[in-house]
Amino acid sequence: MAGDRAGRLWRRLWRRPPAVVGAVVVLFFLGLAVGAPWIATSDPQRSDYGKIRKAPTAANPFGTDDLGRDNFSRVVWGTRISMQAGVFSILLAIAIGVPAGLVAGYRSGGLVDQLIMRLTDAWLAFPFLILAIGLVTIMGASLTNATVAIGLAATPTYIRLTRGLVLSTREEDYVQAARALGAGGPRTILRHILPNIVSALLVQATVSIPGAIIAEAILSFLGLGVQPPTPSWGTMLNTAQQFLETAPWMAWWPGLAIFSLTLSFNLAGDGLRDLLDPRDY
Amino acid sequence: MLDFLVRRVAISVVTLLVISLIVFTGVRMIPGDPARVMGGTDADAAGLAEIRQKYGLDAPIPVQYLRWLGLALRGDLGESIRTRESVVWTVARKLPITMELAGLSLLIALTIAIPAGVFSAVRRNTVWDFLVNAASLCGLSVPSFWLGLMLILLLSVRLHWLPASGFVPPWEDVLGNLRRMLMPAFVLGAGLAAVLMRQTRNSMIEILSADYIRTAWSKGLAGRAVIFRHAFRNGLIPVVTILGLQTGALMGGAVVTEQIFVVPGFGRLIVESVFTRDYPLVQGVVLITASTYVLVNLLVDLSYSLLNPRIRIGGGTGGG
Repeated sequence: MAGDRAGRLWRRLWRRPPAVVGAVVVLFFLGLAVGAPWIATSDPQRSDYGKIRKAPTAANPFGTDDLGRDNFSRVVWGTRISMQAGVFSILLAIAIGVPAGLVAGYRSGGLVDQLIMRLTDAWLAFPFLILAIGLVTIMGASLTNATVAIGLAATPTYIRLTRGLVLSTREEDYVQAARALGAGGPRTILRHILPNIVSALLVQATVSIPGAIIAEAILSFLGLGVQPPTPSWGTMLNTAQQFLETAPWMAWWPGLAIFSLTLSFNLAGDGLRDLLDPRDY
Repeated sequence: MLDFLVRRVAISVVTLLVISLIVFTGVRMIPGDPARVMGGTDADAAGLAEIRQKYGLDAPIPVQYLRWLGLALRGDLGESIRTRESVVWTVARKLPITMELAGLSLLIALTIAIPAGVFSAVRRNTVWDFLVNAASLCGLSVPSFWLGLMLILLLSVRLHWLPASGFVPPWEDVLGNLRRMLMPAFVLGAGLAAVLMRQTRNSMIEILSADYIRTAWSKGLAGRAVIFRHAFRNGLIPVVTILGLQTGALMGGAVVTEQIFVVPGFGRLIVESVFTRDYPLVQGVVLITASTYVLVNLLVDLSYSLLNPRIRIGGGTGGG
């Protein structure tokens, strides 16, 4: 039975090559992030003033930057920062948004629901980036604060999504049955509703992680995120902008890294959505 | 209909109030003396006393909030620490530039997205559909600021076709203005185009499989008439809604785009004010952006209810 299911899953996956490619590339970047010390052996923060803004060579395949640092090392180590910011900010958004959405959905129409939803509406009115900029202004610029700001900016999406999912799940027969059998509120939410909305939340996460990765890069690009000399794709592009004419390779690789990582997340997310959509059976 | 309008406006008013509360609380969370925060580090004792008196900083917090809200409603958002000019005036001067940028990028996005989306829905599951989908996915994934840098590299540094940055007011030199706005507008519009393309395609696909379209086909109407007269008009309604929701992304995107192309608009203003710790200006910009978003979406919803007879006649059933 289990083998049959795995086989079916595998066949359905195989019908979507873009999703498979996306997932493989995401795993590749994950490997880069974890294996950075072994893959990029030269110190990403060590300057070599004899090699300032040198075009790509065998020793420095991505060239060097304005302080003579190896761009390849910096791009590889930058993967860590991006992955960290992308994943942790969305985890934060889920940790706040899902419980709030569960409560609002379960008690829909009540005072708590009204309170949560009006706050969510207002929170959603702040454009993602403007909100993140505002929060970083209050908290100060650093990777941690940028991650928190991005997470908080992404939270209302999860509140709304969870609430909507709860509203539609609550009316299902099996939930009604559980209630009729005497299950209380918390038990109904945790045992019967939550497991059935997890897949939709998972899909949303794969869509919002690339958004968060871009947001971190933008904040760092603006100087509001990761501070130099820590290698991050956003700060690298910020420096690269000043040397576009003389050292264009400084701008190629970090940008290409962000693009391919976010594209892969989106491809994998699309595939996951198709895969988890029960209507497809 | 009236019910729906009143409800919708009431919700917007509540949302605006909550926004003002969030912004007020946010500014109060900045460590240090609030008078110092609003007056800047070089404010003298007399200046600080004046601010204390203006905002009633000795009164309880709720009273302070009401006082601040009253001033904001009368258009007084304080003055910039750096220039000592009123925040509202500073924003008002920068806003037209960003609005031109946003307007142009909207135009570019719509010109690309609507035809591509309709085409891809009509030719569903063909190579064309695949190409449109791929383009839209790339548009969603490409970081706008990198796209901007690459365009500068190609069109300005290599080909010398367009100036890399700067701004010329349109009343001084229309062509020069457009030449400088083209790249930023395209960069800002690319992400929006991707979103709109997807939305147009999806809603057209849905509409094209509706019963009344099948009826139109079976009446023997020509393909073009069915697609444009019957499907297109209804297919566009959700696109308008998405457009409203995207104003926020457009305003956020303007921050980055203006930074790359050195466009002296609203977005550059906010980044500058963050770096100079010009808190009144940051507060004003954030408050104005969020309120604009709420008002734009209110307008979109209202116009939507005028466009869609089901909401108009149904007395607000579609308003949820």
